[in-house]
Amino acid sequence: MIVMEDVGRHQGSFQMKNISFSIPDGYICGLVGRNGAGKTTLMHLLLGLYRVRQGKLEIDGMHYPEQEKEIHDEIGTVLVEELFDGTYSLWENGMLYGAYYSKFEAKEYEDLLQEFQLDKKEKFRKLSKGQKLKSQFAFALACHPKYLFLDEPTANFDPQFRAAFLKKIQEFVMDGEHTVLLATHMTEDLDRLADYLIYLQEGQILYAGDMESFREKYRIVAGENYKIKLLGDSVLGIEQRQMGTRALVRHHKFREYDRELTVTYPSIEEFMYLYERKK
Amino acid sequence: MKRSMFREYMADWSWKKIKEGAKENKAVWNCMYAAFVMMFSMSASIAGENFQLTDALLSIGMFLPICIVMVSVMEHPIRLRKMRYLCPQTEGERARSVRLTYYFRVGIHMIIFLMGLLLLFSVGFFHWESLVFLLLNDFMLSTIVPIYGINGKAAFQLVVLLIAIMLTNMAQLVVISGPEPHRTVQIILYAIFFLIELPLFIGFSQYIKKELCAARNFEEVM
Repeated sequence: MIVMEDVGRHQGSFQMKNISFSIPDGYICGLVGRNGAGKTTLMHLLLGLYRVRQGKLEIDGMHYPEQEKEIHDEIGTVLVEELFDGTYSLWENGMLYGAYYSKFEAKEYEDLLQEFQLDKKEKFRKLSKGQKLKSQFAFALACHPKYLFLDEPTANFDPQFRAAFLKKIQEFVMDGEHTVLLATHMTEDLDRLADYLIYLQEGQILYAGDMESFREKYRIVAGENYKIKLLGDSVLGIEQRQMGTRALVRHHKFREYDRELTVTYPSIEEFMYLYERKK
Repeated sequence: MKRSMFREYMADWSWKKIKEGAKENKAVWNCMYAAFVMMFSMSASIAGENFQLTDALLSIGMFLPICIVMVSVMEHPIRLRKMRYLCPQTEGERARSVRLTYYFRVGIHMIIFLMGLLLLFSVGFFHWESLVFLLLNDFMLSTIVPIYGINGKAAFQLVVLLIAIMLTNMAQLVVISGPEPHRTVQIILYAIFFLIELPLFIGFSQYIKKELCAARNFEEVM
């Protein structure tokens, strides 16, 4: 379980405030937000690259910096930046960094490289962006971590591999003991896969909770403008178009809507889009 | 381990990185460039009209290693690759890796300087005092690290130390180019070493120590 309580951080003009959430084991957690919302900072805090000086961070009951080695042994990471050494081949990189992980399996790494159609003898720097991420993903899986932290990997994958990648992470969490944290702008993947959502806006959490609650909590309402305005304070974001108005509203189970309004569940993308267009 | 450190060291020697570094630290690079042009032209003017291939080789043996080491220092700040901060290691283990990488780089710099000295003394005249003096200066140059951000005291110590090293090396070049051992010149140069260079180096080494300590954490070096 990953628990963050009231974590804050200043970085230049950027400020992260009151970050609190707890991701249970066995979940795929989506981390979304606009550019500069704080996704990478949050990821760096979880990875122990930035120290938590305000608030509390607990990963599987362990804390940085005292149990950093044990925590890192349980985390597989794929970041958008290149983590491997460009002068080494994929195999050499695996051997070099795999030596630090207690559960790294060279054979599995080799098999995964083959499965992802990567040549283990190829130098890392000669690979395309997508191939680099694939190799890092193979390495992360071969380390048998409990947690996978993935920062924007899917945008660089071809459609075939993207499907295979999503299948892999579904398989990874299947036993209910492993957890995936996936920061991405490809929100349709999260609509399909995520069990938990963290939505960041300007360094603050706008929503952190399971997807079921998220779907219960919000609705997209479309119809005539004056009818939507009658919904009052529950309207969180609104978009006026020629053919009518569309709004994101806070929903509760006793709420009834005008029959002429179309009410649907919001996708993450719709939620983000309409929330940014506040009333 | 040594093989991987060497490859890691060599990986940072890319033309693209040097160009990016030059763009980022334009002032530092311009100063370095100006210093080397100045030193080379000074050695040419000392030789005067009789400037020969030997003089050119002496200047190359003296200043080319300095030039290479300075670029190496700029391209190899005290830090590990990001992946190393993500690998399961305790802070202590990472601190050891940082120190080993740093010592390795100092070793590489000394090898570069030794090759320069080999050229210098095979072309010029051999004097023990000059060899020891140049080795001491080269060791100090090998250990320096780039300064990031505002650090007035360390920056002052480094700049004055570099100027002192350049000028004393220049004087040693004159000594090596002739058969005379120039005892008085050597006494003055050693006095400069013990009274100016060494205290500055000891002062700057505190900054190096601090940097080595900070490099254990990614946050401190990013």
